[in-house]
Amino acid sequence: MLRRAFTVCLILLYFSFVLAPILLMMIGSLGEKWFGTLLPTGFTLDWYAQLFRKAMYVRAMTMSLWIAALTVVIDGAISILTVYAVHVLGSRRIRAIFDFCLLLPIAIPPVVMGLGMIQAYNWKGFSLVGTWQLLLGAHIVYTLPFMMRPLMANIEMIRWSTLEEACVSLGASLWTTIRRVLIPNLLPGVVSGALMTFAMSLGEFQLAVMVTGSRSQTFPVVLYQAFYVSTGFACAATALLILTSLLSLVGLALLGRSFSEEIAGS
Amino acid sequence: MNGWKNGVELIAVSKLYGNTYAVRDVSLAVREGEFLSVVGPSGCGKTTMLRMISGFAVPDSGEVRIGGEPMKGVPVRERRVGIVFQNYALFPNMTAYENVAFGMEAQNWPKARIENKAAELLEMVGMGDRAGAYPRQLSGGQQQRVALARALAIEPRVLLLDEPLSALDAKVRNTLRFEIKRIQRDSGITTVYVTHDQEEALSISDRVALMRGGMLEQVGTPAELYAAPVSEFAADFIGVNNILRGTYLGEGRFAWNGRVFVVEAQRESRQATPRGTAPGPAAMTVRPERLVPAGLDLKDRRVDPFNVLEGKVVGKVFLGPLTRVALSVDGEMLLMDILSAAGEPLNVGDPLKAYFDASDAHLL
Repeated sequence: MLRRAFTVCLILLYFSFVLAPILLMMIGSLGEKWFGTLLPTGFTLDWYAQLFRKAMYVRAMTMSLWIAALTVVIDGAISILTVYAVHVLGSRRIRAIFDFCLLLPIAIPPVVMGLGMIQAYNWKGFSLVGTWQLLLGAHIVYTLPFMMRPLMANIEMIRWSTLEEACVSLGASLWTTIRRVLIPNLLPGVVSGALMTFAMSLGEFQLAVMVTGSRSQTFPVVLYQAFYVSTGFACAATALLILTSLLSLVGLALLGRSFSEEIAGS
Repeated sequence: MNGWKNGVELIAVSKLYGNTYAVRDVSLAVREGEFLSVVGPSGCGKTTMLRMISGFAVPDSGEVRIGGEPMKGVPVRERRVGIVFQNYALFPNMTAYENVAFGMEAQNWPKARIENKAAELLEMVGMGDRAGAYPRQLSGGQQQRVALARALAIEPRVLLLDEPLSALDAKVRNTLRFEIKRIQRDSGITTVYVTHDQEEALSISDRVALMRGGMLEQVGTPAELYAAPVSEFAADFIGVNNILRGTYLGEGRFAWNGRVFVVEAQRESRQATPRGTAPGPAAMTVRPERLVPAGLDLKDRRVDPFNVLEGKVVGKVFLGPLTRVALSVDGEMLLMDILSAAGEPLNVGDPLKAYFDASDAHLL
């Protein structure tokens, strides 16, 4: 009985801390006025209309999706090759060094990384600061561990070294081995890594605000500015980011599933 | 030489890991179509030896030949060896059929030939009706059958099996053991089979190579290894044995614990001449099934009055057709296997006389 009450309390707490703010944002984005009352008054879709009319917000959303998608693709390519190399060639020592390197982007705060990037890529006559390419690089470094880790677990679970020996003894070339055996069997890891890194890149604020310029701003950066416009407008912008994020993740998961079914069925 | 077209030869092969020899100066020849098992305790170098044949390990000295050709510098994928792994190593993303077809596709065989061959092989290993199943849908034994078909699909010159049954339970192990033997006999493929299970090796092999500490201890037919072990290690590792350490007195007399046994073969024996013909410290072995309860069915045997051991039953294990009895003789324990149906049931504490024929004693 006590246990049950405790569980219910935990669930309520979870709702009030995690879901309630999101829900309030959703409600706020549809209200005409929200000032001095617990809930907004009136109903309007005007905030959304305004949002889509402002080129800055549309461009920022496009930029965010573009950078997040590229981050996932490049993360995936780097991670598959790295994980393969570390698993096949890696001695215990190399693996320990690898694990440590993987921790670095998690251990170093994004603010520090952002400052470092500005210092490193800003010279007289040549500066990468303000370009979306620099932000893409920053996001790749920042999210890479979250693609690598599930892949590392994945390759160990399928006991890759023996599978590769089987491939080699059957006369398969390295390319055939990678294409027909390695990649299809790493797909579950790639999908879970992709979900994670896409969401991280899409919502990332600290690096984006430091590294981007006016033409390469991502959505979280302009969202921050939206709070200076009006509450309803900011709520609409927030709701849009949440919806985009959720839809993309569902889409990615479905894509991953159909892809692995296709490979399994071919 | 005849029969070497697809045979395997190891010539003075050694492999070092760090400062220790995994395999040391091993010379061994497997004839074409022969089924040779390599047995030994774990860490004896048997798997390293197999990996040197397949090409995954490179010998530090010596030479490996397949079909008479030196394999130095020949990569694994060109050696045409079929490998069956302990943990099956089927490709999880492919069906049984696709697994079997994979090697043939990788080598660009014509499509029609691949389909025929894959179907035929799946049928041969008894998996014809599960061709569309994924590895995760198959039991361990079924997976290993598919793995065997996959290894044979590329028409290898040599089939290498690395502890293929040790991950399976006893019942499946026993049936699959004889299936492997049948398939090997039908296809006539040269086979090297690595196992730590001496019983498995004895039951399916044409010849058995016993390894110890990276070196070959003894190579011979299962019957030779069983009847005429060359060392105490061989006597102990192969089957169950009683090893009596004593002194050879010469002229077929062996002294043990104040007793003297007649050990020289009295009639034509299947075993080789005892090694230790010079008097001195020696060991005598006698298999448990060669120890017969004296007084039960000795009438038509020529009882040598010397070779009777008097002792006390200190334990017994029912093995089905046989009962294994632990007999304490002068404080030393000997094992004897008695037909379970024979005579009065023995009880722990009963006195018992055991007799063995001089030709059943083997001197080391």
